[in-house]
Amino acid sequence: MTNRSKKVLKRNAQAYLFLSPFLVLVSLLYILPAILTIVMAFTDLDTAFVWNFVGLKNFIKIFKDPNTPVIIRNTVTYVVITISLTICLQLFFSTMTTYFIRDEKKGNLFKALLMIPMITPGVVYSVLWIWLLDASATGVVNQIYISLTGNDPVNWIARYPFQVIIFAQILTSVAYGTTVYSSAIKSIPETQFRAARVDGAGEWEIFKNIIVPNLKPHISFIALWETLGLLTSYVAILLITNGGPGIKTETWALSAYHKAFGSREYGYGAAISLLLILVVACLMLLIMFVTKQQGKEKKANG
Amino acid sequence: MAKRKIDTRARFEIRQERNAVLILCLVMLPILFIYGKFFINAFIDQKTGAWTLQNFGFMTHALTMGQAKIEPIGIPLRNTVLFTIIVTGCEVVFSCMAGYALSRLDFFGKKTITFSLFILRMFPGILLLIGILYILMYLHIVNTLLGVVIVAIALRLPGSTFIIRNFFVQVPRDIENSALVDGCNRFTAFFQVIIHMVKPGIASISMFSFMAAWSNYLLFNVLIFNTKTPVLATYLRKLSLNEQMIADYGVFSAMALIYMLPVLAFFFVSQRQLMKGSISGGKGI
Repeated sequence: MTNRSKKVLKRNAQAYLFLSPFLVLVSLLYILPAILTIVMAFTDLDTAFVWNFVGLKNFIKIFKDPNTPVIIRNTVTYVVITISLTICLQLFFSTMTTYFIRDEKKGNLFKALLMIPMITPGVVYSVLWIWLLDASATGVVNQIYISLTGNDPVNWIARYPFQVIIFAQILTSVAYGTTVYSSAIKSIPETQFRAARVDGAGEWEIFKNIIVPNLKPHISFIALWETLGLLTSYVAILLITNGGPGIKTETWALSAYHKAFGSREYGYGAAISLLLILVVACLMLLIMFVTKQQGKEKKANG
Repeated sequence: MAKRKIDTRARFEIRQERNAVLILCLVMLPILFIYGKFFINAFIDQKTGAWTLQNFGFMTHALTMGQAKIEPIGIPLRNTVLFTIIVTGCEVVFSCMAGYALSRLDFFGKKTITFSLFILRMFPGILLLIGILYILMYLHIVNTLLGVVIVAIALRLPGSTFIIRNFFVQVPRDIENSALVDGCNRFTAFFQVIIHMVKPGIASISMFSFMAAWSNYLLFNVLIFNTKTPVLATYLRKLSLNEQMIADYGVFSAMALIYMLPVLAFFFVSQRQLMKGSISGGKGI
C-alpha cells in the first residue's frame, strides 16, 4: 500500500467516525422504517404481527371507504384555508413589526409575543382552547357571548370544530414566517421606500409594489414548507378534537394514526401513510425546485 | 443602525410607528388576556373563587378528584428532565459531528450523504411511526424511555445537522488549517477551535431541541402503551381527559404552569437567538 492511499483511507475512516451516530440513527429510524412502511402497506399486519401479504387489498379498501372523500375534502380545506390565512397574517405582522415599527426593540417584542403560542406545549395549548370554548355557561367565550346576546351557552368546539382547529393552528404557525419575512424586509434598501414616497406612492402601494415582490421567493418557500407540515402533523387536531365530532375534523394523516394506533390495523395504516408519503415526495421535489431556482437567481443577481 | 434611522425619521414615520404599535397591541392583547386568565386559575379555588395555593398540592402528595387519583408529579417530572437532557445533549453532539464531517472533510460518498441530508431534513418522520414502532418491538425497547429517546434523537437529527452544517460551512478554512499546523489533529481541532466558531448554531439547535423534547407528546403516546414511564406531557394529558379534571381547571392550570415555566424561562433568555437561529440556519432559505 502506498503512502498516498493510506492517507486516503485514514481520511475516510476519520470522516465516517464523525458520521457514524448520524448514519446509524438515520438508517435505523428513517430508512428501515420507510422500507417497512412500504412493505407493510401490502399486508394485513395487526397486533399479532403476522406478515400476511394481501396485495392491493388495503388500497382498494381505502378507495371503497365512504369516509375517504370526506377525509380528503377535510384535508384540502384545512390546508388551503390555514395556509392562505397564515401567509396573510405573516405578511401583516412582518410589515407592521419591521416596516412600520423602525425601532428594532419594539418590533422584536411583538414578534416574541407572537411566538408564545408556538412554544406552548401541545398538551397545554389544546386544553387552553377547550377551557376557553367550554360548553357550559362558565366558559370564557360563553360568558362574553351570553352577556352580549343573552342567548343560551353554545358548545363551540362541537358546533364549529373546523374553525376552531384552523384558528388554533394558525396562531401556532404565524411566528415562523413572520421572522423570515421581517428579516427579508429589513434587507430591502431604505432608498427604495424613499424613492417610492417621493413619487407619491401611498403605504398600500409600497406594500404591494415593493415589499411583496421582494418577499416573493420567501412566500413561495414558506407556503410549500407549511403545506408539508400541515399535511403531515396532526398533533393539534388530535389533542383538541381528535378528529371529531364524527369525522368532521379527521384529516388524512390523523386517519393513518387512528387506523394504526387506534384500532391497531398496522397494515391498513401503513397503506394510508404510504399514499401521503407519495404526496409529500411530490411536494419535496417542488421545494427543491424552488430552492434551486432561487439559488440560480441569487447567482445571476450577483 | 437603529439609532441612525431614528435621527432621520420624518414626523409621519413616527406617527405611523405609534399607530402600528397601537394596532399590534390591540391584536395581541386578547392572546395575552387568554393566557393570563388561564394561568390565574392555578391560584384560585374553583369552588369558592378564593385565592389559594392548594391547586399545587400535586407537587408533594397524591390528590383524589372524584374517582380519579392523581399521582404526585415527582416521577413524570424526573422522566421529562432526564429525557430532555439526554435528547438535547445527544442531538447537539451527533449533529455537530455529522455537520462537521459533511462540511469540512473529504470522503467517499460525501455527495450522496449530503443529498440524502437535504431530503431527510424535509421528510416528516412522523409518517414512519408505524415502521418505527415495529423496529422498537423487534429490538425489545418499546415501552421504555430508552426507545423514545432514540427515536426522538433520530427524528430531529437531520434537521439539526442541516442547520449546524450551514454554520460550519461559514467558518473560514484558514482557521482550521492554522490549528492543524499548530499541532492539532482533526479531533482536537474540532473540539478546541472549530466548536467555538459555531456557538450561535449550537445555541440555536439546542434551543429547538430542548423545546421539542420538553413538550413532546406524540412519541410517548404512540411508543409507550403502559403507564410505567409517565412524562409531564402524558401526565397532563391523562388529567385533561378526566371528566372531573375538566370541570376543575385549577389543578390543571397549576400543572400547566409548572410544565411551562422552564419553556418560558428558556424562551425569554434566548428569544433573540431563536429569531436569528430560525433565519440564518433555519429551515428557511
